[in-house]
Amino acid sequence: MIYLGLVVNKDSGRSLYLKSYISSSWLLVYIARIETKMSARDSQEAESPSPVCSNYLGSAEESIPAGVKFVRSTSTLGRKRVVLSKSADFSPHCGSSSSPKKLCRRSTMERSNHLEALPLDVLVKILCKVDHSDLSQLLLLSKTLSQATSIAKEMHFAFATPISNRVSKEDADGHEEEAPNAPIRHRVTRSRLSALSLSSITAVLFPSRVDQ
Amino acid sequence: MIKLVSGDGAEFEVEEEVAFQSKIIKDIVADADDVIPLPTVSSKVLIQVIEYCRKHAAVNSFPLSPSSSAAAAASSSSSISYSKPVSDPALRAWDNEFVKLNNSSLFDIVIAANYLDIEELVDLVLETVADRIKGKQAQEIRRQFNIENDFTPEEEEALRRENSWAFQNN
Repeated sequence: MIYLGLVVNKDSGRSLYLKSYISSSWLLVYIARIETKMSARDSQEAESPSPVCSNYLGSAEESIPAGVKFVRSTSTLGRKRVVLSKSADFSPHCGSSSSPKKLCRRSTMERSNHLEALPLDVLVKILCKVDHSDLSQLLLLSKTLSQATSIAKEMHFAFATPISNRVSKEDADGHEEEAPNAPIRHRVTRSRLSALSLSSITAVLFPSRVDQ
Repeated sequence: MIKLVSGDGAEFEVEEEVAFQSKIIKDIVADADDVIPLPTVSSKVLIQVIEYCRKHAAVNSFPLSPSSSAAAAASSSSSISYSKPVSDPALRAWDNEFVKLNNSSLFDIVIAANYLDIEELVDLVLETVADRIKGKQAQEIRRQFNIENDFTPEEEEALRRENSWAFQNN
């Protein structure tokens, strides 16, 4: 026995949900795209869609999954989608109806924010060019950049030698840092050979062919 | 001559050696005709990219010394010449001037160069963006690139805990 209930979703205003219960609450769910030449007014009546739906229930058990949904199209009403589902299955559909809005908002947000709008592979390439010490700050920026930084870390920084802090400090300050427990140097040892005297004792050991 | 058509329909005629710095264009020309539509690249960006390619093509075709031409030939023949430093100091100075752009223009070039696969230009612009990130605090980077902090305090705390390796120095 097939029982068809027609639910008009007032909130969305656009879709009509058809719930179908088959005997002993066995649920059959189909998505079917139904070609129909009915007008909008006809489609709101329960009688007219039912022959179409029962047709689908009867014939297409193997074919199409997951609920059938009526979406009233704004223009010619050539095509309609019918959703057949149990009420428990409604929530995912309702949820998905709100997701396009979210996506839109996200894309407008990203448009103003150019760094995050870059493709992930490009972003990772950029992050591979920073120093190890910058990673900690990059991780905290935002979710997108945090993800990109993690990828860059796995791809590049796990294999790269960090620039030693000591070296960079030495460069900035211009003076050397004393090693711990180093022997005390009384005088600066310098080679006693000057460049001038060296040139007098040098000789070409392996003359190249060009010179000959 | 090769004709490039930008996303907004403008046509640019460039010499082969200029256009062939883009590997994509080189490949397209190999098995198609000489009019190449580039729907994702705007005229403004394409002009900048062509300017860069012209400059580099000119320098590469009139090398200063035979050794540098040999190096150029070697680099163009081998596919792996990644992050090869530009040797000519004058060209490097020109490059530095070229990338003095605001962030959004720079990102446009990043995307175009990445799409057209112009290795030297990709390296140059990526390096430039990385330089703008280096050595800055998170707040500074957020301000510079207009990034919104979408972490909750709890998430941020968890992140710090997970990545304690990165925060050892601070």
